[in-house]
Amino acid sequence: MREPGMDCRSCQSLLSAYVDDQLVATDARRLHVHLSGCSDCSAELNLLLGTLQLLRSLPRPRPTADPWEAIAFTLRREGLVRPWYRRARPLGVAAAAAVVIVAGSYVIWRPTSQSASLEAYWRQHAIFAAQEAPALSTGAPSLDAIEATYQLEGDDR
Amino acid sequence: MEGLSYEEVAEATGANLGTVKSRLARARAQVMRWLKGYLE
Repeated sequence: MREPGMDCRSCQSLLSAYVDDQLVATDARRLHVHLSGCSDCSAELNLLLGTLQLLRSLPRPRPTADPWEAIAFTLRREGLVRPWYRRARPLGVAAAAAVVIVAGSYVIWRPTSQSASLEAYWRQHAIFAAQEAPALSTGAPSLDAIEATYQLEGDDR
Repeated sequence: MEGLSYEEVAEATGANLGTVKSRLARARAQVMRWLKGYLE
């Protein structure tokens, strides 16, 4: 039975396995047939063989004991990774924005009514007056005493 | 490839044999394009 022919694309995809003698017999035969009649694919095969020969002739540096430092240095030099402080920049901006938003919200919406401020003032004043008043200074001022003083002071307003 | 057969590469990487073949072919084609100027 005659085997189907092979096109250039299929042939060139098999050249790598061919030079490694990894093709099954059928594919190897079809490849031979195609190569014998195709100058482009023969040139491609020669180019591949020349490339592999060139690669084999290159020195093979042994990796260092800890190759990661060299790899990391190269990645940084080539701009393939950013150092941590550059990676952190967008995060820092986001964090600063969050702080500004939270602080701004507090300033805008905090309880600043005049009545609340005055009440706090009078309450403090009442406590102070209760501590200082001779009639009430027999001990720690009781809540009733404080409230009474507060009431008096409040009435003076 | 570094003294390993395709089957050994497949076992080491967990890829199947066809994947090893096609990856190797693509890698070699890429290297060929890079080095073409040194070969002609």
